[in-house]
Amino acid sequence: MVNLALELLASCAGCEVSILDLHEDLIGVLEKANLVYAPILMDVKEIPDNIDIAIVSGSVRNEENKERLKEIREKSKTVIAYGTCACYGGITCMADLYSPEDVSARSFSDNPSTESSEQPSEVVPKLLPIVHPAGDMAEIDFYLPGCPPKENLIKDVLVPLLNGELPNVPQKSVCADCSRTMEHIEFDKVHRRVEGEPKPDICFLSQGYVCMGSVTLGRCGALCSAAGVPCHGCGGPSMDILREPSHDVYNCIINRISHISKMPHKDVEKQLYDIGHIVYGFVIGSTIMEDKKVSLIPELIKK
Amino acid sequence: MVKIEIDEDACVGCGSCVDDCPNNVYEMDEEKNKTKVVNEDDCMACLSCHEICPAEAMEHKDIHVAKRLYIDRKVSGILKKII
Ligand code: SF4
Ligand code: SF4
Ligand code: SF4
Ligand code: SF4
Repeated sequence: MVNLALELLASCAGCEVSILDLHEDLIGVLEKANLVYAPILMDVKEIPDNIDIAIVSGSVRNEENKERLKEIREKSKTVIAYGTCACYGGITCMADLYSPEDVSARSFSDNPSTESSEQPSEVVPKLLPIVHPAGDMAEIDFYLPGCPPKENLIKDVLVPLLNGELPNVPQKSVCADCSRTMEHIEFDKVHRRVEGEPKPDICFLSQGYVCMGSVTLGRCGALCSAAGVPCHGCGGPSMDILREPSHDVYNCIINRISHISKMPHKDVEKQLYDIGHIVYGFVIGSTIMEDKKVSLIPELIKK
Repeated sequence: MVKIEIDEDACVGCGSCVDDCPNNVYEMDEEKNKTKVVNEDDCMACLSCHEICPAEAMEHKDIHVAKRLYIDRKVSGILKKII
């Protein structure tokens, strides 16, 4: 039996719950694994020793997250950074668009959606100056991006790992699974996602909507584009984007829109709005994405 | 000699590889609305097509990618661990 642990750091808990999406396949997993620690699913408060595989989701936002990550790393043979937050910062790192003081104030003393109160001085762990993907703060054995990883993928990855084998899963972009046709159509306006009604069979980019599919690691089955919503990039950067130092989610999206529409790059850039959320939303906390010379992340984050 | 494989399920039919390949290796199969390799022998492994393809639909076999790219060691370490 393999001792399996699930830890969540600064996370929405979607990653933990995604493991339950295995449904009946969960039985197969539990035949191979002892679930020894999973704060969101069971009542164990302290991290036990002798963990074989630790599945860690979320980012490192505060002192407590940092300590927990260190402890689970020390006690585990294999650590998987699970989900886009753990791998590249995901949406939790969008907090880097604001200062920690602004974030605390918004939660406690200046919260428009509830009665404001004093900021707590004890019990609540201290925020770090910026949010870090778990992958940037500890030695990681495997990265499994996805927000959260989808059930088929989890099965295809987890079952071989529990059997001591390496998983063999596709690593193509979201476009590879998308059934829309990317046509070269000249246009000169980039639309906001809420504007107009996009046609169902044609690629969003061909219709002037920002779709992150071509720069995003797929394996979600292009869920969003099938449902009529452009890809937000929740799978994290595609393998090509990661691999090539000169490729970034921003410049590659601009290039592609410009290529399809025949708009000059500058015109596309002028019309792109709110890139901290729309383009860099899921990778803004990642040092490997920030370290690219062409990255705009350093200009966006508030340290 | 370079061997190019196309994943037809992945191809979204944009024709960008046809436009971008300097050696006219590709043509569109109008019926299927997918690309097809028509001049494999002319491929010089510049990977311009690979770069433009939104779907990562082509694979070039038997080429030495390291000749073309500067590879960051930290990134390479992480790439190997992505599952
Ligand atoms: S990767 Fe997505 S599902 Fe997982 S913790 Fe982050 S926001 Fe939640
Ligand atoms: S850019 Fe978006 S809509 Fe277009 S093919 Fe890719 S995933 Fe589909
Ligand atoms: S289409 Fe994009 S945003 Fe939607 S689930 Fe897939 S990767 Fe995430
Ligand atoms: S660039 Fe890629 S998606 Fe477009 S036609 Fe060529 S193989 Fe198909």
